[in-house]
Amino acid sequence: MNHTDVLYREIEPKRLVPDERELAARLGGGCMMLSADESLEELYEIMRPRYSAVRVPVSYEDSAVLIDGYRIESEGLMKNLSGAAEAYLIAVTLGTEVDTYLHRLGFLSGARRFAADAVASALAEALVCLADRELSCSLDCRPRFSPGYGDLPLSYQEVLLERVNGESLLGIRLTDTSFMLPSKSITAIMGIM
Amino acid sequence: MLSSQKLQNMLGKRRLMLDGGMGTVLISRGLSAGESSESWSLSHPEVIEEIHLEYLRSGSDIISANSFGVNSLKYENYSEYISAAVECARRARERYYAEGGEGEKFIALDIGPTGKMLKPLGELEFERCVEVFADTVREGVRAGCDLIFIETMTDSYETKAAVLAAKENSSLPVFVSNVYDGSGKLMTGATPEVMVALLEGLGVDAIGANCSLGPDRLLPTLERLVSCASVPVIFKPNAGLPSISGGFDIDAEKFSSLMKRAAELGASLIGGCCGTTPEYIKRTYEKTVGLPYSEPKRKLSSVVTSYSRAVTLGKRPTVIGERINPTGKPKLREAIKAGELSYILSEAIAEENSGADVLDVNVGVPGTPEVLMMKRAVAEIQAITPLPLQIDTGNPEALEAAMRIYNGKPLVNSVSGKRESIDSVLPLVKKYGGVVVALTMDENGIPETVEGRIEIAMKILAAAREYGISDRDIIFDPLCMAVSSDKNAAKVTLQCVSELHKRGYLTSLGVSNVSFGLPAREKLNSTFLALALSKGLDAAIINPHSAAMNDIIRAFTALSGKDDGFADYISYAEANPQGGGSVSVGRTDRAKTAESLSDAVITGLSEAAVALCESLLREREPLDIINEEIIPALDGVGRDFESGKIYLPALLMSAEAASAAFSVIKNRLPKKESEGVPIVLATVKGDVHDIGKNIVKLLLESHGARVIDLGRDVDPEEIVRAARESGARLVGLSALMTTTVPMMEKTVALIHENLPDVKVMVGGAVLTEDYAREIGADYYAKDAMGAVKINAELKAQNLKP
Repeated sequence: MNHTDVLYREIEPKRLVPDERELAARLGGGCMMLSADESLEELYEIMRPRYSAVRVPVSYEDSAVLIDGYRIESEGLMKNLSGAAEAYLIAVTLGTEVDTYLHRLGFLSGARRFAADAVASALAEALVCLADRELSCSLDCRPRFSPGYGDLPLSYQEVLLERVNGESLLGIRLTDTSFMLPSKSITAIMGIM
Repeated sequence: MLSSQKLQNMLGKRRLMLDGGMGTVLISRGLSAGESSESWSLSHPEVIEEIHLEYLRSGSDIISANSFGVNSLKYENYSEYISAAVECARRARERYYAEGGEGEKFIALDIGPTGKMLKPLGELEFERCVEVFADTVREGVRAGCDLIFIETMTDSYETKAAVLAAKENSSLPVFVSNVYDGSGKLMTGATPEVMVALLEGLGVDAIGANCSLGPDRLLPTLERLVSCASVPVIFKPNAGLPSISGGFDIDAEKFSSLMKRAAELGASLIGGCCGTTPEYIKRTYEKTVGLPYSEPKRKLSSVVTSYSRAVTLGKRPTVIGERINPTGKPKLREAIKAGELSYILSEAIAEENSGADVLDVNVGVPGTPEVLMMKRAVAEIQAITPLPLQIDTGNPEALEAAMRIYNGKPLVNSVSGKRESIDSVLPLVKKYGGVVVALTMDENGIPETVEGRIEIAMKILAAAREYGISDRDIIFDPLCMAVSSDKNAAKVTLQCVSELHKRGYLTSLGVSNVSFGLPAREKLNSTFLALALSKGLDAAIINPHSAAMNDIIRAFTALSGKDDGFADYISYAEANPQGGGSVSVGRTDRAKTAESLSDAVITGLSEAAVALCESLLREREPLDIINEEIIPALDGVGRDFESGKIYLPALLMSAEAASAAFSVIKNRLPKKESEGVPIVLATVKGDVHDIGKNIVKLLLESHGARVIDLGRDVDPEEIVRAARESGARLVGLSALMTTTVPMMEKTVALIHENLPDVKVMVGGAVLTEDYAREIGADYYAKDAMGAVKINAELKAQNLKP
């Protein structure tokens, strides 16, 4: 596989700030937010956020989108890309340490594990937003679209990850059911106008 | 002489050139984006052959066959791919010699990752992973390669599986290279020091780093590898990082200059990875061929590791936590008998929080399957703590099972001077790697004299050398007997420690034996520990929660000049200002106040709940407190949750506070009333998601139920066994994914078939009431509160689960 054009960045953990409102919505505010603050500090210590991305050509054929030559039947993606002739394929991860941390917390406190899980998800979201900002800085980009959204099949995940060298650069593996490990990982397609 | 033997003879005697990228060059020859490099061994063999030949002409001594992405998980016809790949390399070598090329050239079977994550984080079984690699290795050997090159591995555990497969299915030299990031770690957290200890333990011939970054950013990792490895080090970086404008940012000229630097720093096998071409290799060869080569130096430190942490024995006193051992611990015995791991896992975390460096793991309880239990315990403990483990068993089969699946280089407890022990334990240490604790006793028992014990120590050392085990991988335990039965016991042991230390060997002691049969044992233990440390003791098996022992370890380390800048001592002293106390790394609950116990439960304040419960117990009956304070509070919280007034996290916090209060009350209840019939919980085989099951457990416990938690990904047979042995009347099964529901159905059937009186409740994101009925479950729990209600209902029906 050609990986010579894949961009790779390791991100300083503290550059990631979870969205407070989203967290409060998940955790119901109050006491749990204190637990979330503790988790955030601990996650800053252990996580190793990083992303990889590649800029690829996009073309269209009847009802299908061809991303870097790979044919995808998805109306949702077609609509999202809105005719873009190029796109970024992006994969981000917080790293395996986060999974180990969450697994371990489960033995200490179910409540803290729950709060920490929500914080980690918010951090992964913050990471993909940061990747988005860095990649699209001087470009006119479409909103991100991910495998599993609408009619874009989850199975495309495998092709996307292979293309951005997700295994070697990010350590992302897929389970037989296309579930990403480390679990706090996100993939996305972002059209470039 | 065989090619592989010639290579063995050259290793570490001269610098060897590897090749560069394959994918990179294939792109320039027309490989399209969707195509795999390996498919070209069959479809375009002449192109692959040509690229190999170009590398040989550029100065490569070793070329890697185009087999990186091939394995039996991915390709049914993997054998065809592998033999075609090796054949391309062989033809290239023949052509090279035919055109007058010189020097010995070798062909590596190139092995990359399987693409799957191993359990417990992922779903691939360790043994299955070994099998997959074994398929590749056997095929490569048949095809005639000269060495096995396991490369671009991002996970230490998968690396170990590949090495075992290579060693068990060939006698070829094995090279291993991992992917390190900018912070010098693998994706799964291992450092160069961890990988060197693990891989040298497994008997690998060369160890290194490849891919990920350019030579500039990988040089610090190279230096760390060279400084701890005794075997030759491999360095095969990328041509820098890809740039926004496309292409890698380090050209052949700059690359070769940096590689020259790498050679000067001690890299023995050099080449390139992604983005490098024959041009990069040619320039690197030209710049390094004339450089003097210095052989790798043998390193003498004794290192044990987990998946992410290396502990060097002998640097400063090592604390080995003794708490995971059922001797004299009825609660732990019961947990082991029930096959329940959560108790062991919380103990592991507690020992880590108290400052232990290594955890001893002993799960031997007569009448329980030790091999199975040891394997499960090691697999689960190593997934939640970064501390290295000391595998403690007298059963060689359990020892091998645990050493095999251990993700690191363990301490092994133990070998003795008995012939039988030497013959069963040392071959395992040789095969899997480890530092072994050698007890100075033999068929005749423990000698009373210092000379007698030293003699046995030297006998074990000689036997270990015969097996090819390095002296650094032995740590002696001169054994301490109770002073109450022999007043000279401590004196003799201390003299042994002193003598072994003088001779340059490491020592370890189980400290608490010394005080057996006497009152206020900690006073004797701690003084004995201080004396032993002053004689040079390197590791002590102690209770890491003991304040007195901790004080001595920290103070001794500071006083003996082994605590640079007193950093450890100061942080310990700050955490324990009164003197005494364990190292408080773990966090306690936020100290908020609550008016009453029910208030504490409703607000979810565990610490307050415990305190209030203790004071209530002075005035009221335990059962009254449960029925009048805890249960009404929990019911209220449960109702608020169901009506959507509060969220799940708040419910969990309350449940934890209630459980904390319960544990205080349980101690005051007569045994019969506190125990009750347990409920068995498990996430079914094939499913690694346990957040839902953990919530159910917490809620059930908060309502006073006794839960046996078998964890996640549990075999149906194991669930039946646990239910049968514990006498449970209710089993709860959880599954998150649609793909694991069939396994849930199978489990339900097996339970009903074997234990017709046992009821099964099921739950999980993909289940519905109908679905639950369809797969034969007795109950469907919509959520954790649902499970609590089912349990209450069954109790009311007088089933008393």
